[in-house]
Amino acid sequence: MESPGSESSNGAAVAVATERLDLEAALALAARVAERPGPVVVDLAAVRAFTGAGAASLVYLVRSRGDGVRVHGAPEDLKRYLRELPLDEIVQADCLGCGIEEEPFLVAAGGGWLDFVDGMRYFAQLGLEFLYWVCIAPFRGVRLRVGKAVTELNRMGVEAIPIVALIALLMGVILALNAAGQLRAYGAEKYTANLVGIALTRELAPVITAILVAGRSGSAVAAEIATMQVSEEIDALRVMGINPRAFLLVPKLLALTLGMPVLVILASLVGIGGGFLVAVEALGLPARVYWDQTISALHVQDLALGGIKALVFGALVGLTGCTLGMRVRGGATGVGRVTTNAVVVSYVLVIVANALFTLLFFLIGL
Amino acid sequence: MAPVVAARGVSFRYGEREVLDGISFEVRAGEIVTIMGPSGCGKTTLLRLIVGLERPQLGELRVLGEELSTLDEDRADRFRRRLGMCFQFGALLNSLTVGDNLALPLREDPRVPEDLISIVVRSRLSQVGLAGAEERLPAELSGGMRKRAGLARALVLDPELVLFDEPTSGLDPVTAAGLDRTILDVRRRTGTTMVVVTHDLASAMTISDRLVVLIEGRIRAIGSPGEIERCTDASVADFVKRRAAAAAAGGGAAIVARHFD
Repeated sequence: MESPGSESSNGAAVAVATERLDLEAALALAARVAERPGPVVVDLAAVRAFTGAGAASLVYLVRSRGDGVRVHGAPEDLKRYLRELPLDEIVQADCLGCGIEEEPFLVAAGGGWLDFVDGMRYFAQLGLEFLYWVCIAPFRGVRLRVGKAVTELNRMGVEAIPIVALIALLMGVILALNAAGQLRAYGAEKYTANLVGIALTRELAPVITAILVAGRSGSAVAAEIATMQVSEEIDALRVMGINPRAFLLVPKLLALTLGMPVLVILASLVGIGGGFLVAVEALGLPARVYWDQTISALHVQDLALGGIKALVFGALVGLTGCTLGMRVRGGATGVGRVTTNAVVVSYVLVIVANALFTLLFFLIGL
Repeated sequence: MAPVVAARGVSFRYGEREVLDGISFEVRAGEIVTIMGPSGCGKTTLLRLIVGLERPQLGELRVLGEELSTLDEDRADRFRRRLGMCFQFGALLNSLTVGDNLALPLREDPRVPEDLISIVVRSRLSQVGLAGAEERLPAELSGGMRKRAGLARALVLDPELVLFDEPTSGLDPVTAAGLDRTILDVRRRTGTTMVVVTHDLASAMTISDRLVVLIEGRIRAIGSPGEIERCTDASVADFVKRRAAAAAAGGGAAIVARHFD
């Protein structure tokens, strides 16, 4: 075996590869070859194993030096690997990332605003379309995909029950402990039941459930739709004459909008149960007193307000996930970005909507 | 007979970037026309315009006698059932089995009984060499199989026009040649008109009746494979020469043959 950099019998410089042709060995080999201006013989007789990067370096050598490179003693499996490599396509991208240009700040900021306005328009349009597909289209003979909606309802609603119930129970416990601590000073522990019941039914159960569903299902909707968008599955549906909004989005929106009130009712009941446990077991309040107080404090309108909020929050979470998923740009990075954004935007919308509802109900005396 | 595709002065831009500039060409019934050009020349955009996934900003584009950009969404959806498209990576719905992917457009028509759907799906899969694959998920298929399943789905509604986006990209030469044979076989049996977008010169020369060479958003040449090879336009000749050289010298097999002992 000849040593690195020695001369071959025909006068061409010889570069000897090591036993393992990996990236490190390939870089060293390339450096030695680069020192030689004339024809080069690359001796691979010592190579017993190779990596993808090592094989790629040979392609690089051949492409950069052309006919000045001769490869000697390459193992058969390396030759087979190279023969099967679809280089015709690999070398198409001569410079990865060369086409990416940084946008000037003002252009990027302006584009961001236009994108935001466009997103809002899509959100509103999708909301109206959802109402059309659910309330009008079935009466015009267009079938509502109930089967798909039930599947989604199971995934987004039924499977969410354990986590919603657990959090609601703990919320009830926390609320009761805090309320009892304050009310005891006035000898009014029994009103713990009133506070827990009203706070959970009107405010906490809808908001906490919406936040849990946004984190669990809103993000999943955004990720699923975005992945389908970047892999051209949405385009494929359109080419098959299938409206992707009716086929994909409406069942998800329907499931979230209808599933949320059910989850909120469940969360309210379990939360009240949590308060009951604290009041009866820890504070010694008679069970009968707790239930009587709860029933006297809660009115139908409290349940109705919670239900209305839940419907709207469900629609907001679904519309956010669907809008962001459909408007994804880029590949895997874009999918990750819209998934995160779906959660953050849903949280903000739910909290803002809750504040507006509470203000509205206060102003009209509900 | 009216052309299946007739483009007159079609232009399209993404933001400030002009992608297609005054494109005019026709595709006649039963033809396989291949649109070729370097990366980023607007080939795929032209395909998306033909199938109505984008709308031209200037000019007129008629497909099967209809100007898709003038149709509302419902009519466009119904019209697209006369077309089939084979996407670059198959674009099969990953959550559905191969069989369900093929059945999807058929199930949109409530008149089609499930037994008939099953027969159509199995026979289409058999035609593209995927018999027995109906219960498999797309993730369980190789790249070439996914493309063939995509072709089967594109053909499931007996379309009058089938469009292919880079059908042989990412496939080894043997599989690519097999897909070319499948495309020719389908055309021979059904007489379906096909528009293919590719940068694979060998595939284009094999399957095409005519080629359209698109460079920097403009058509530089239209003709039979022989006419394109003999074309004197400098940009076309340069493109063909570079693609041929890349195919001959850039392939791994050629590198081994030329440079290895």
